[in-house]
Amino acid sequence: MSRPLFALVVAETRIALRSPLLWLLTLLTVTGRTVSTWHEMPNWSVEGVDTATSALVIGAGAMLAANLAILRDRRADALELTDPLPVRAQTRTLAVLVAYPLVAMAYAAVAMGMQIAGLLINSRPVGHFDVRELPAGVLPVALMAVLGAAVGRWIPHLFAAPVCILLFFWTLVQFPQSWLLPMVPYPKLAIDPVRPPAWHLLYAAALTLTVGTAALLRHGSRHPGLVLPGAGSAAAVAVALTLTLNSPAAAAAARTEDLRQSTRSVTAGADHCETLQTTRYCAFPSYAGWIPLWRDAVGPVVAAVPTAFRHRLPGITQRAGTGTFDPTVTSRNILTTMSWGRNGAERDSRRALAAQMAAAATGFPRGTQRGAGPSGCDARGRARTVVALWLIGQTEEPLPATSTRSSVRTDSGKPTERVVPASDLGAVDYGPAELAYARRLLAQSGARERIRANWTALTAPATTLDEALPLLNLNRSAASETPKGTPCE
Amino acid sequence: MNTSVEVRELGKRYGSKVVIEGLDLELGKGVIGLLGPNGAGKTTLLRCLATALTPDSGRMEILGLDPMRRSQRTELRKLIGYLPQNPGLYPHFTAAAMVDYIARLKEVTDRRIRKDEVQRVLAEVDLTEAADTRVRKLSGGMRQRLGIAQALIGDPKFLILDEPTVGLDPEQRMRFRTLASRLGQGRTVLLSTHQTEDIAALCDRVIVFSKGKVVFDGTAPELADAASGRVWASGRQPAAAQVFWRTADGRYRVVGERPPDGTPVAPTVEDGYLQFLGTGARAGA
Repeated sequence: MSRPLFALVVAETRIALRSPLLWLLTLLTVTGRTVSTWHEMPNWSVEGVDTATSALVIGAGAMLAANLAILRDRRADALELTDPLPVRAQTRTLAVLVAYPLVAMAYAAVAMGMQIAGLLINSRPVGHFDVRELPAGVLPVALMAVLGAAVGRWIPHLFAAPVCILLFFWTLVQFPQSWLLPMVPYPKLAIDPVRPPAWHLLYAAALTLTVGTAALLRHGSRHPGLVLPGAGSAAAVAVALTLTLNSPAAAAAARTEDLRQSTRSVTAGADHCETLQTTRYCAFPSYAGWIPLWRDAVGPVVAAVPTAFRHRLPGITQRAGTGTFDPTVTSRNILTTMSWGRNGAERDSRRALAAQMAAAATGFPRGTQRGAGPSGCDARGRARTVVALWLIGQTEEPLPATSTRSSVRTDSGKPTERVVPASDLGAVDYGPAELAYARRLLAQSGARERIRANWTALTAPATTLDEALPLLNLNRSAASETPKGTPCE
Repeated sequence: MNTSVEVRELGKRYGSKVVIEGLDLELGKGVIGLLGPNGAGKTTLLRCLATALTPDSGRMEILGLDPMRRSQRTELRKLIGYLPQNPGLYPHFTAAAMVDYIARLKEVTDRRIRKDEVQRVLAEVDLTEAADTRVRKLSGGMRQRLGIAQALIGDPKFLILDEPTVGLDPEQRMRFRTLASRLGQGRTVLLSTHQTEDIAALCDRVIVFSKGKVVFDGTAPELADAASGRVWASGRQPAAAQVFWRTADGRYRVVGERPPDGTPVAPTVEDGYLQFLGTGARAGA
């Protein structure tokens, strides 16, 4: 690197480092990703790719910043000032081509590092962290910076870079699984997809060099020192792409069925199974690390159920985001999703899973979350409601029931408002009396033994709360309300 | 004359419009003023000399180097300081950063030397205190001085200033004259201006340029003398064919043929300049 070029690279690097655009977008990326993932337990197989993909936001900033640097003279009407200076425009372009990708990559690396640090807080990560995802995230950022400079030289108008950014992201959204992209995002709702091989990194790097050479060629130079590396990088693009698309990984990816296909069972592939304390847990392979979390949520509930009845309890099986429900699986299993809470939200995850087990143990319809489940019913005044809430309380404190309102259309097509109960038992409604008795039971010593001893009577749908109070050694402290909706069967 | 710049048969046209044709010029050390009406080709000549524009014909030798040759052009550019008519300065740069950036483009690569140079040229134009002010916040006159400052980087042997005093207040113009006069000692300073007072005050030599050709080449007193016996004060408005203007005392100053009631007046550089431009410079009608 010549001394004038080095001096310019230093100047452009300083300018780029102070670019408010890069600062702002880096901050936005880190904050946005940290906030959006704060309550979600990370799976490195997903988060590694998503973290790399998020760096493209910084790439967009780098593209704009590099473009503005190239167009600096034109914007300030300074060509007359700078053209007759010893350092030629080609050298200035080269300085931008060196400085902005370097700075943008540094920003992207810092942003990715901060995101990963954020993901590690109070977390039990699962999945496989592939170190290749880091350069896979950083290289496209460099490419975007170089692209911004090239666009500035070939189409010297301010609108060109924003249009280029829109096209870039449009392509990313339209062809998210194409390995022709410099950055391959994580396929939405997919589980453990096959990722591009290392050749893809070479492809992205060679593409960056080729675009950079194209920017320099705009100055009309046909110097062998420029043309030969340019031709070499173009050839490297072709070779790396061919190797990528013909790699064993590509063949494996082609064989992998996309889980977005609606014909596939939601639990297909959840074949990493472990049986712990009579309960069988099945997870997708990369999520196997969460089985202890599920066990911690469900185990206390199962332990509270009399031993003789435990064999009737369902297992826990992980489900994908989309697909069909296989009755043979869903009837025998509680389905848990691809997410698990952290930083306070883990209590909701634990309560939801414990509640499903409690509902299954007491014969209530199972709802995966508050307000969800088979059509709502009212369980006020029933003994098993108190038992179910007490079972939930073995893991997390049960919460009052509320309701959700949703707009539905009647058979005649008229919109009407539907009120659905929302409780720890899904769409099962209960009142403050049931919750109060459950809390008293939780605080009472010997409650477990009494419930176990009277399990059949207490969990029978017909047993009323008044009938159960003597069995539970509870005084009548609050009158239970009469059911307001359809009584639960 | 110790010739710094030699121009022979220089020609430049924009499309079918001939701007400079067959120009011969030799410039030595000192401050040389270039006068001429708008569109005379002054800026085109300055741009050719600054190597911002390639002439269509003729040859130039500047400081012993041929700007037509690429290898010599780069070397020459290090020796030239150029203030364009509209020096586009990056609005979001500070004054110091702007000059520093231009210094890098002038291949002042040593960090310490560059830093000293930036401080020096800013001090030359009295902008030291505004070094950290962004260009967009500078007044028009300060920007003009910043433009002059960047031209001074590297202590150029040939300084080309296109209308350097535009936007400067009287005090700054005085400062500029002092600076230009000092710079003219030991180097060539070519400045284009419409301010004949500046020419009279600081130029060792004046070139009047019209329609792409040199119509006068001499000293300021010689330019004034060229109008000797052709400058009059008159109480009546002269014929439209005359060059004249109304003065503050209500009389008319006429350059050219004696009006019927005309009384002779001592000529100035401006009179000489108008004398050469003839009725094309008529301003009083």
